[in-house]
Amino acid sequence: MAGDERFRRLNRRFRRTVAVTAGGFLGWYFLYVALSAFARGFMARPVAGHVNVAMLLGVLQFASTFVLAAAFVAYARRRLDPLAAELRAEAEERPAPGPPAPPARAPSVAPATAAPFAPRASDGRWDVRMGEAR
Amino acid sequence: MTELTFGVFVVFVLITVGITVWARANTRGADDFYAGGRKFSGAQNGTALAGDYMSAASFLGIAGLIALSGYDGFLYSIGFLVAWLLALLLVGVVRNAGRFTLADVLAQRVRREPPVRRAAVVSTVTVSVFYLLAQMVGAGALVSMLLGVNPGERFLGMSAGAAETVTIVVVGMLMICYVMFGGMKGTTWVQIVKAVLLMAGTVVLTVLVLSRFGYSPSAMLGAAADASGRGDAFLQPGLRYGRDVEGDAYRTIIGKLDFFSLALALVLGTVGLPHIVTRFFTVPDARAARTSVSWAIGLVGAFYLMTLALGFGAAALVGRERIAAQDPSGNTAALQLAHAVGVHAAGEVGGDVLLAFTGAVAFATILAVVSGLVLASSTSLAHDYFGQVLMFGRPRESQEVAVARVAAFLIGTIAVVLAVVARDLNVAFLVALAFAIAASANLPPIVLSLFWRRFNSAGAVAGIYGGLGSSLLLVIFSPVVSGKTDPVTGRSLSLFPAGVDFHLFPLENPGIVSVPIGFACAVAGTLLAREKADPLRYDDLSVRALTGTGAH
Repeated sequence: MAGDERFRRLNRRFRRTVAVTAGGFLGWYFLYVALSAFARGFMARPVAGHVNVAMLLGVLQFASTFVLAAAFVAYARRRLDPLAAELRAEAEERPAPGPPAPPARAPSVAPATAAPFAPRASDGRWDVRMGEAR
Repeated sequence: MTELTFGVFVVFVLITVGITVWARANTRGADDFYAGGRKFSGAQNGTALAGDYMSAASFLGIAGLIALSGYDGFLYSIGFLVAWLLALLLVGVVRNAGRFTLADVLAQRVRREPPVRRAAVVSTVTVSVFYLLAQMVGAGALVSMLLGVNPGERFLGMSAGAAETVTIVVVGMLMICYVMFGGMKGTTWVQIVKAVLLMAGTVVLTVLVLSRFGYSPSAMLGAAADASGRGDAFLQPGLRYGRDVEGDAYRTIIGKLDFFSLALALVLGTVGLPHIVTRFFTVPDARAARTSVSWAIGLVGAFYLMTLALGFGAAALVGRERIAAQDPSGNTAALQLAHAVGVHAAGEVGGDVLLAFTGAVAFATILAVVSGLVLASSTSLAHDYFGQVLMFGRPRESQEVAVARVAAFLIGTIAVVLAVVARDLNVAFLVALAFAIAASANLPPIVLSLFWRRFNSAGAVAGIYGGLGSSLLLVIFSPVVSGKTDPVTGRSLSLFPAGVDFHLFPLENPGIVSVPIGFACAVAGTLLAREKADPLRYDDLSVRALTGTGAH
């Protein structure tokens, strides 16, 4: 399935989202840390009452965390999950042919054949032993 | 008063023991024991995740830090929260890729599993035991604090020293019971009960504190700044982290680097904490895993916002001098605050009741967090080491679960013994160290195995040992272990007494050096090894991680 165009699209989307989000929030967090360490005059400026820039930025870190989390969850539901569900449904409907891979270690073990998806010999063994599909 | 705390705590213990008995009856195999049957909903698991994360170090420690150092305590809590975003980004793929542990994620795609599993076990157990030690010693200290808030009191007829030891042993025995018998199901429900108690207690305290200031945060901040004796500086960064040392550029820079180093470890460490990672596998699918992390973000964020009220409230209503006199690191601030607002709301009795309740919540917090840690390390030992390395991945399931129970007993016992021995040492740095190791040893292999096609077993092994070794070495040769003294009194602020000084590395937090070393070792190990990459396995892993096809 790794070669499927839809999977490649899913992979690209996921990687791009992770890179952009992680870069964004780490950058914003370290900017805040850097301001706290080096721009103390700026951080000390009063905004309203006893609330200063430092306090405001701190609370903004909380707010941005909540917003980014909600945005990522919404994005994943809209753009990642449907594609993933579609691919999974297809893969499970049409199980992959028996695993060609030889057992990774311990050649005395009989290779598993009964696993429904059996991407790896070791997984197959688990599934046979434990009689479970998922 | 301590009898009342004891009473509330006993009720919590009875409830949780009941849960454990129920969980024992409903735990059948490895999926149940390690992953609670993967049947928890996102909301349940999210509450438990938040419970795992909000340790006594957060509840008592951060409130105390804010009460003594003002804004910098808040700054510290921000790193703890922001870290969850990284967890949110990765939780779905980690959930799909893995089975029970961190090592399961890594072992998916490498050619030689055993060395990777062994390395992951070593780092999991190290992180858990350090974190565990800090929590258990804290449990002992909590008793003496509760006794100290009303001086001269004896705890059920015991002196403070004896009470500390007894507390550590009792907490240890309870956590062993929860894990041995309850497994992940029991531990999760204990965690949920504790998280609800902790949130409820914090909300009550926050409302009572804010009511004293006409529900105006600004008025509370002003009162805290006035009472602190530091004026507006109390509301600005710089009293504790990255302090400016007048006329000493070297120490100023070192201080700021140390602060960056701490921030880095906090923000990158969470995803590598074993007791958090094992909890990703208790839900049915990736979507539920994301929901649970969203819940955790909401709860943890709300909690840390409320610690603002606790910390600044304590500074305003109790006062820095009284807090510092009770405990120099401020861990009693939340308890003293509970007493103060209780007295104001309902007289001496109200103060005692609220203090007793807060103390009991703190105990419950410690108990639940240590159980999570013991479970994570025994899972790793039994599943990764016994099941996959010693038994070549073909243990009988019942056998593996039995081994996990024995491992829980052993790790719990070792932690109790170490905690009793370390009772009087200053081990608070161990939490930050656990985060640093998690960020340097566990995060690089997780990220690289998910995103780098060429990554291989040599890289995973090198990354884990490189990150673990460098953070340990740097801490051993840092001022937290030796050579840091109080400039005024000459008392030692390190693990070793004053006079012993072998510190070579100037920073107290290793992260800024050890995280890059961890990544560098993982990359170098991959490129230098003669091992060919396995693109097929990588494709399998990506398909499984992203679509959930064939996920457990």
